[in-house]
Amino acid sequence: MRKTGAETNESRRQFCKILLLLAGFPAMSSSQSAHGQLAAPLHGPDFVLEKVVSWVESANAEAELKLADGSLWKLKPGTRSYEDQRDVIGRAVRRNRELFLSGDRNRANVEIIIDARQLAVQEISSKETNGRYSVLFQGPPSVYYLRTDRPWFSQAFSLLRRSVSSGASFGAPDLVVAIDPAHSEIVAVKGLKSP
Amino acid sequence: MSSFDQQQEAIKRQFSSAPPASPVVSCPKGALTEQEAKQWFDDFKHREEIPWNYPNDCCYNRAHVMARELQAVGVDVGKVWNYAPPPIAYIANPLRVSTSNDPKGYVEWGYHVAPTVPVADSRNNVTRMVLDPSIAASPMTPEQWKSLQGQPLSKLVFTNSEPYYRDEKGRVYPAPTNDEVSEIFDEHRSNREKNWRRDK
Repeated sequence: MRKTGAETNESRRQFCKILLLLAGFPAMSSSQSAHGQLAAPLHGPDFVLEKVVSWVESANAEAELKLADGSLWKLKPGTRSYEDQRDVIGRAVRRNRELFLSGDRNRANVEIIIDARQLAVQEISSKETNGRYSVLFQGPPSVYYLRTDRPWFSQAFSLLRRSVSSGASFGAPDLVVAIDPAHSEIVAVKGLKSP
Repeated sequence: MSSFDQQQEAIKRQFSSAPPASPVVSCPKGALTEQEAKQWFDDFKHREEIPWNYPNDCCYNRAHVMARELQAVGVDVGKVWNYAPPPIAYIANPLRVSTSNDPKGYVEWGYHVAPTVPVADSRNNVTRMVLDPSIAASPMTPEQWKSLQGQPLSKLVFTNSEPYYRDEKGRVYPAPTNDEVSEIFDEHRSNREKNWRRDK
């Protein structure tokens, strides 16, 4: 039986849809794997990598966190994120280590608090791919990323590169680094001063 | 003994109904039976303080704690390290493991480590097996463990249980204090929570 003109057009449309799907599917897959998890930028606008000066919890009020740069932050108890933030702060105090905080300093609002680690770099990718460099540290096995569109990129990149050839090692790290675990993204780097 | 007698003895041995000298085969010193190895594997896997489902990090800490506990009961424990292929290619050719324990569905590593234990089968043949509940469902051979990590050019290195961390150049570093090991587990459990909470 011969197809009518309408049937032929419908068949062509279906064929085109299939072609588009076939063309689009691998493109989506490769884009996703190439980009991994491109995170929305942290809102900040303030990013702090410092030690804790004081941490005061109150029964019926917001807790107060003071960091070594003089910034003062308020945290609201009773939420799940509060419990996590409290744990990170507790670890930073016990280990006398820095923590990373993103938030609005003027409003004392906290967006996220992350553990900071003392690390040495093993390797950095020789070129950027999809707007980011890959970084491998000594110790943590995963590949982490430094995005070129972040405000901290230039300083962080310089420190990370210096660490590769500095002779720093797992046992003698030269950097303090904060990594956003949800996106394997390096969000802060600073040199580790000798005690 | 004549050759006839020898044949008779051989036939008797083949058809004897007498039990073997000892029906319980004892393990060589420091080795586990297959059942014991599986039991250790399952016990470790159900330990809630060990973040098995945070494959992004922590293998060195998990391996240390498992090795320490196995060693304490006399097991001849070692470690196996799998390195992505060099030179300057750890990033370009990482180990890659598919896992439901990361929101992306996979993790990429420059290296991975797990403890190994000698396991004796019913004939007392001893094989070194890897205990790694972070990526496996049961004890497995080092080659099987390596193949799970998706990089045929990677290199296996076997050590004793001492190195907490071993870099790709062979430099080894001792374990931190037990308190620090616990802090690292706490940190990684916290990271695991962040890993999932922000992607839901």
